Amino acid sequence: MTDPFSRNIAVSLGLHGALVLIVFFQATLIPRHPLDLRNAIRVDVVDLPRKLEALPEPASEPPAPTPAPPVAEAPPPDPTPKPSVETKTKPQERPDLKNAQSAALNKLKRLSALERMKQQVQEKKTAEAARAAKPDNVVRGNQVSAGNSLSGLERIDFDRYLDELKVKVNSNLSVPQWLAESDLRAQVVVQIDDRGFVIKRTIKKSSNNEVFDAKVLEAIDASSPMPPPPARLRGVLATSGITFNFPN
Amino acid sequence: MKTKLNAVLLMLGLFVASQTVTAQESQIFIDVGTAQVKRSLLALPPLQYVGTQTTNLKHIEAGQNLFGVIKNNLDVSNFFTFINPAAYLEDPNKVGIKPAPGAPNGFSFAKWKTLSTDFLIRGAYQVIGNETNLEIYVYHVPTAKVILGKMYKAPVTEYRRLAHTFANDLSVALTGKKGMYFSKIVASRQMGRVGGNKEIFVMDWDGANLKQISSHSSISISPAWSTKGDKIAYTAFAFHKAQKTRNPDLFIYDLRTGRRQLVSYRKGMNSGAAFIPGDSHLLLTLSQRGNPDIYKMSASGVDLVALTNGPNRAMNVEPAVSPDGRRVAFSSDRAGNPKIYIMNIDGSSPRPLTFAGKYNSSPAWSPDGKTIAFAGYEKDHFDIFTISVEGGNLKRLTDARKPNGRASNNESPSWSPDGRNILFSSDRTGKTQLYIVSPDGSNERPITRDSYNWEKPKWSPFLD
Repeated sequence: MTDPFSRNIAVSLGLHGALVLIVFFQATLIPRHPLDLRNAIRVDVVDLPRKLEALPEPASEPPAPTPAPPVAEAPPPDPTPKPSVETKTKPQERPDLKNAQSAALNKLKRLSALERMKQQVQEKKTAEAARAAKPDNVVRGNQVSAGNSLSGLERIDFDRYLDELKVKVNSNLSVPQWLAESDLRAQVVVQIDDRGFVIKRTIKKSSNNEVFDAKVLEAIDASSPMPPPPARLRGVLATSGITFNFPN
Repeated sequence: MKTKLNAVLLMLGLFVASQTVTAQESQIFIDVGTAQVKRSLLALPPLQYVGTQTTNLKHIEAGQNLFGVIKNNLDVSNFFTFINPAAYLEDPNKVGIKPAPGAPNGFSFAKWKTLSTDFLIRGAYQVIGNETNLEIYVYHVPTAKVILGKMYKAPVTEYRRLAHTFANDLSVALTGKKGMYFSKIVASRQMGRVGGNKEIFVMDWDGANLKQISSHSSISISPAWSTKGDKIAYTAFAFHKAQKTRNPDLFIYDLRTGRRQLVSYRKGMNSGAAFIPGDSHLLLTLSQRGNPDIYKMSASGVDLVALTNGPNRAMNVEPAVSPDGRRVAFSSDRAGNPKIYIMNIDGSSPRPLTFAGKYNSSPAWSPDGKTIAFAGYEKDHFDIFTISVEGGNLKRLTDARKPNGRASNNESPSWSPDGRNILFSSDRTGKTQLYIVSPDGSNERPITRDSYNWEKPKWSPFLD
């Protein structure tokens, strides 16, 4: 029962099968030149940029003499910044050592604090090792030290607040052109009250350049009041403050 | 007992928790980021004449010349914005050059502070015989301190050198680095009509003390300084008697001895020289194989090594050696339109640096090796651009127009040795003249103001 139609179908199937086999053997057995992408050319069709407007320069005409400096709304900063010396608070002596429970509590606290300090040292070492392992281990802004308990919405608020502080201080920071190429760095600890006013600013690490240090403090002063801190940070910012790194 | 123990544990827990928050959150750091940069307000009253011949015009002129060069130097430093003398709150001619109350009839710091002055320069001079004596002080007004105080003596005719020395001293006092005030410029100048001969000229960075160093009565172009600043390589279409034809050959001219040496006269192009630090070797473009390619060659013209070879008959020209001598920027049309490429000094690892624009040429390394300036063609003209060596931060520095409103051509950038200015040629006035601009695109100013056409300028290294 081999009518012409069936025979043609069989021939077609046979030819197709042979074609598939040829392609298969060519692809697997016959070596071919690999596609060389090394000479591929990247072509980006982009225009050259326009000239940027020059940064605003101080006018050659100086500002009109002002009889007195404007009165700042914020509490005046400490006129004589003191070096930041950490002073350990002397433990309050409690004359009434009448019950052993209190003594045990204090002991537990000390032990716990010691344990915590050990843990923090360990965490710090781990973090430093991790940073050193990275190719770029420069400390970036808006970073909280390892182990911060903030998370979720609090963390978002926290990061947003730090961003606001950075933008505000940066916008007030300008250094003279002749200092621009010096690799000067300074650190300033700034204490901020609940309304965002700078209570105190202290140069923690001087650049050893009088003008640069003055410009850094000017930027902090000009940024007060800063944005009010989130409720969670209020006490901490008023007491321990924030350390601003001033890279030049 | 169990209740008490629970209370103790609860208190302990609260204590530890509170300590944790305090210890961790007290370590909050913020990187403020790169500061904005601004120029300092400078008060520069005219120099006081403290000699006895108050009507001696030569003495007055000597002071004016000296003051003019000092002011120009400080303006080009891009450090300062000058306070308009009309705003001064005291007449500098009626007070001394030292501050009160230490000096009788001294000037008042308070009045300069009122003007927000950052720096005040007070100087006095006298002319004794043929010698100028200058006593000059630079005060930092906010701190009321002297940052530079010196007395200079120089022949009256050497007023430019005196002014450059003072500007250099001020640059060192402010930044710890010397300025470019003793540096020079070399460029090719068209001698007459358009299409006529071109010769090589050397001048001070501000256009003074012009000196012609070539006279081939032909086309002399593309000069380049040796890295020590004592030699200049350039290309001249020299006449070859045997072949009775002209060929663009490479010459090296010794500025100290005046000796000229023909170092490469291979058939075709011998041009675009760039010395490698140390000056024992240089790079140049040769077209002896047909297409222009970059070669390394000894300064005596031998030891030829090809650094590029196409590909696909591509043009590789205008080599610029990095300040550390390890890389080469050049322009090539290997990918179509001419763009800037960077390769190692041995020719390995070429990579494209620029992608934007139709035609990029004339790369020039900044002295710190971080930025490359180049001329980019767009629409119908060239402008000067800078780009970081990594390929980012592309900036346009020029966009001047001609008096008829059409865009001008700004080409052939070259950095000052202190990196504070970029030299280039521009036809914005109709004639192609030399200009400088700061790397942020500000403070463009002409260096030449004549009726000639100048091209391919190169700024020298430090020469002092």
